[in-house]
Amino acid sequence: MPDLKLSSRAMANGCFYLEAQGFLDAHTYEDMDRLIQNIFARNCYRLIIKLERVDYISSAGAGVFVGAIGESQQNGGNLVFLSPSSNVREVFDLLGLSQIFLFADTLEQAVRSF
Amino acid sequence: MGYKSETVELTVPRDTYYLAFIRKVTGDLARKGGFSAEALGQIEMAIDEACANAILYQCPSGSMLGLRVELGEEDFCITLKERGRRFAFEELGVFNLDQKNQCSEPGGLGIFIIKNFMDEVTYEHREGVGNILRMVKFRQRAAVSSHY
Repeated sequence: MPDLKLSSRAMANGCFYLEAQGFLDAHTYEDMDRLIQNIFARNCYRLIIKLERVDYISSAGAGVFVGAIGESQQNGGNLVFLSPSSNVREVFDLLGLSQIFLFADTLEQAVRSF
Repeated sequence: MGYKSETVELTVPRDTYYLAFIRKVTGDLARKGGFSAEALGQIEMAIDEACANAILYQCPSGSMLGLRVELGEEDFCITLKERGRRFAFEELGVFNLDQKNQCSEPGGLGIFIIKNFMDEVTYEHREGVGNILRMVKFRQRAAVSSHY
C-alpha cells in the first residue's frame, strides 16, 4: 500500500520547508509528528508545509498540525500550508481548521505570511 | 437507476497498516455504484476513521476487524464489527467549530467526521460480541456520477 513520503530542508530566511506526499492517516501521522518535533528541537518554528501531493488526510493527520501550530505560535512562529490538495482542504474546512491555519499558493507568498 | 446489489465482506487484522487497503476496497465499490467523487471521499474517510478508532482505542490486541460493505439500490452501507469495549458514541464527536480543542477526547474528531459525512450512523454494543457501527450513505442525497 502507498505510504507517506516526507522531505524537508532549512531555508535561508529562517523558515523550514516540509513536503509530504501520499497518505497522512492513523498509520503514518507519527512520521509527520516526529519530523515536526525534530524541526522544533532545532529552534525552528516557522514551517512551510506543502500538501499538494497529499491524497488523503484523516483526523489523526490533521491532529498533528493542530498540536504543532500551538507550539509554533508559542515560540513566535507559525505553520503555513502551501497549496494543499482539495481533499486536504475539505477536511480542514470540515474541522474548522481553515479558520486558524494560514494558506499560500506559492512559496514566495508563504514566506511573506510570517 | 438499475444498480445491482452487491456485498463484500472483509476480515482484517487490528493494524493501521490495513487502513489504506480498507479505504481502497470501500472506495472502489462506491465508485462501482456510481457515487460521485465527493460522496466517495466521504465514505472512504468515514470508514477510515471508524477503523482507526477501533484499532487505536477499542479493539483488544490481536483481534480482527470485521467489515461488511453493501452496495444497495438505494444506499451504500458499511458495518464494522470489532470486539472492543463499549464507548460513548452519542456523546463523542460533538464539536463546536467556534471553540478550539473542544473535541479533544480520543477518537472524538473521527466520530465527528463519521457523523457529518454519513447520512445515517447507528452504534450498538452487544455483550460477548463487541461494537457494531453501521454507516449509511443514501444514493438520493449523494450526488451520483452519471458515467457508470
